[in-house]
Amino acid sequence: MADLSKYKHFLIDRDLYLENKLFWKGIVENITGSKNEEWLITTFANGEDFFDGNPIYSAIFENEKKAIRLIQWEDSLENPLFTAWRTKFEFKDTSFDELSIGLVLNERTFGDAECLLKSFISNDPKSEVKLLSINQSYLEANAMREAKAEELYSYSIREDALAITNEAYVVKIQALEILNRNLRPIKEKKSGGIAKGYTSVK
Amino acid sequence: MNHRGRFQAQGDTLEESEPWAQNTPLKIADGRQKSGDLKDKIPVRKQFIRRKAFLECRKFIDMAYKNGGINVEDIGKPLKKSFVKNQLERVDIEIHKGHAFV
Repeated sequence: MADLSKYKHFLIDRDLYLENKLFWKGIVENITGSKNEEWLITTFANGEDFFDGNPIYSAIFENEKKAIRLIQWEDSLENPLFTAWRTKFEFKDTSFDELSIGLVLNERTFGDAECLLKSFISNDPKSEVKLLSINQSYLEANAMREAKAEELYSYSIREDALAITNEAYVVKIQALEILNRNLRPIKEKKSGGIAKGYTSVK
Repeated sequence: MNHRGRFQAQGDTLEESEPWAQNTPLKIADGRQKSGDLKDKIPVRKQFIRRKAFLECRKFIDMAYKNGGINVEDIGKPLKKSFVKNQLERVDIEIHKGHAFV
């Protein structure tokens, strides 16, 4: 079993990224027993790779009318720990069944991804059930990450709002100081009642 | 049509899309507009869940533009990207043919 922790910072080290991609290629080829080429584009028109793990690896099996897509996320609360879904799509006028897996790579998620890949590729009749069951097992963990991310997001908004309020307060004080400097007391009226207050200097 | 693709918002109870099929490459402004139109198509609550996914999608479009767009014609492979939030709620970009985000 490979040391998966070494891929933790796969998005900031391009050599590591490519190694991580080869890791998945090896896993898929080991399951299928054949050589596979990536079937989805991962480069911009100028040839630069996306280098974002979306997808980190993909493969198509034209005879079986199947495809897989693996998306790897960095371990951030912004991302779910694991999720998988199946869709149908048209390619070269043929309908394909695609298994997509998105994950933060660790031993548990890797084990579940491998299980789903094997099940999908081998036409396991329980493939759909396994997918639902594995997704279900991550519901709580994913919800907790989401809630924590929301909490941090709200906190950052509150901090920003507080900073804006403080800034507005400082501006208000400065404005009052300028106003005070430009004010002089009104002389008492010679006739009539006492009028105290200020008037602006012209 | 020589240039085809779509933006999609998917989820447990949602499937909306904003496709394009035209004879000229999809311009960056039209790509931004289409992703915005898709966002406007879905209920506010579902927009809220996907707000970061839409943001990532928009960032990708801008990044693509800075790098000459996406040309699936020359490589002969389609583009599929999913911006996933909240386990099954996501926003997808697919380019099946031609050039986009130029």
